[in-house]
Amino acid sequence: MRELLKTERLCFQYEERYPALSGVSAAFHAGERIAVLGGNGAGKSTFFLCCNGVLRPQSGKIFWKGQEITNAKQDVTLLRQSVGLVFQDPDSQIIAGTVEQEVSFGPMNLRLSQEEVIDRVDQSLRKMNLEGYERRAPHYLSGGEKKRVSVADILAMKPEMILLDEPTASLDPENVSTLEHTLDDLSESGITLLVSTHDVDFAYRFASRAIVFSQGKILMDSAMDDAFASENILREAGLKKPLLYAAAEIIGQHFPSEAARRKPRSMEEFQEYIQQVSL
Amino acid sequence: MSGILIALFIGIMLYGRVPWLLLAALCLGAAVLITLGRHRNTRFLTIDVLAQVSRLNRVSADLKFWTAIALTAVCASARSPATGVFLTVLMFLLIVCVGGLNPRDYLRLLALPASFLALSGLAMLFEISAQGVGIIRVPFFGTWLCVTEEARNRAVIVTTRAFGAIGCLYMLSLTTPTPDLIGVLRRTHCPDVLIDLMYLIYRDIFLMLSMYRAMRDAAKSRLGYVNYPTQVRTMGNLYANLLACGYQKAKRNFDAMESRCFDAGVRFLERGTTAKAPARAAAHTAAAIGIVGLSVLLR
Repeated sequence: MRELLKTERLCFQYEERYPALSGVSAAFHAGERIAVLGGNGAGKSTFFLCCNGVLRPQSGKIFWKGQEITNAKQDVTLLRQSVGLVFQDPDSQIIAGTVEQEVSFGPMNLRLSQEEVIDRVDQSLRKMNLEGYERRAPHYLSGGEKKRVSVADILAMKPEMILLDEPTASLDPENVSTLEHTLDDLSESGITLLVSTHDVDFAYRFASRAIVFSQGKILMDSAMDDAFASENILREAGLKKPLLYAAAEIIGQHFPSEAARRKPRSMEEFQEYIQQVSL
Repeated sequence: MSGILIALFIGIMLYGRVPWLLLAALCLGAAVLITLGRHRNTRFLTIDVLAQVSRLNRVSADLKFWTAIALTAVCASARSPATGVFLTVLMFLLIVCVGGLNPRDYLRLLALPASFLALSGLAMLFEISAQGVGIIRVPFFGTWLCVTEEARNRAVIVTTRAFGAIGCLYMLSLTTPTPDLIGVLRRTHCPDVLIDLMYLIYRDIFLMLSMYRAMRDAAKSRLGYVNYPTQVRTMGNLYANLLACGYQKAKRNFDAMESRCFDAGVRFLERGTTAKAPARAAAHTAAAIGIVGLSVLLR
């Protein structure tokens, strides 16, 4: 897999606090689905802001497709354009008075032609099921709709990688499931997705790789199943096992077999798992 | 209160000009209308909501803007009360019949400026004089409060002008969402920094308002408004907190703008500003001819 983004020993400290990031190194490849796990204040959001070029790390390096991102304007623009960041609270992200204007903000900043901007805005609105919302005011939309607008914002910039900061926070179950479908579509279209969350069930369903953050450091960077195998890591990061994972573990202890090793990710897989284990 | 004011104003304006019964009916009618309008709770930012749903909100904002400005100018310079009355009726028809606004909502919005106009009209009508002259004379501590024919004519002109102008401005603000209006100002080459601020402030009004509501409700639920001293203290804390939260929110907002390659100037797509240029030009010319004709006819 082609390497897209790489960080090397990133350190960042806000004025008033202890280090938010201390020596974070990670590499992300094309088409990956990665969950960034960790409790509140673990450094996930700061890491995302650094990866997108909004915050400049005090030390450490960021590479995009092997090219080091310096402080030069064109480097930072390249990073912001290639790595889209969807903020946790859509209200912190949305600045325009209509949905169409909002989605056009990024493409307009890229100095694209009017036709290209219209084309991209229409495409992203269609992709996020927001057709007919063009002239609606964002402040009269529901939470789920605002979230879709905030994702459409980023899609219109055609990034190769999207970072989503706590995308499921404050969404109802139906909107979470819509969001998951959208993320699946985006992933299938080849976009690398990096999702920060403390919703372990969602992370377990969605991602194939997990990066666990705690106190500004990466505790673990592994395949999803391995991340939940270590009790120590989970305790240190303040996380719990996903419900399906824990249930499968208990069943596996009572009926040890080869089939019990592969843990189910979804309810459908869980049903299959039960059938195989009970055979 | 505003119903009484308006009834009084209309009564004096028409006193001696129409039969008693009709006069009484008109006063009562106006008072009831205004009271009806005021009866529903006024919600903040109603105008913004109404503009969003108006059937006229798809009509070119440039056309509405320039028409409203031109008609306001025509109205303000009119020498006959007919202009103001005509424009008031025309705008009512445009906003309510064409735009699809509920007449009660329109009445509610008119109630406040109408009572203000009635109050200023009453102030213009009465003068204090040593001798009782004029159409209406009221003894007042050894002198007289009088309404002369001249004062009445002046008041009629001023109030109809003002009412017509209010109608024109309501036509603009009740059918044009704010972002469209800012777009018009951008095309008139208003300084960019002002335009950027307008866009951001428009959005921030709603953010601050929802933050304020959340904090107010949280304070209410903890008896923060239980008596006057507590209320004052709560308000103080709330505004201080609002300032701090607003500042943090602005910082996050700026981060989000930067993450989408913001460098200088807030730019948005303005669709359709070039697409139907000939149609727009034709509409503008027609409107201009109409306005010039109207101003010549009605002066």
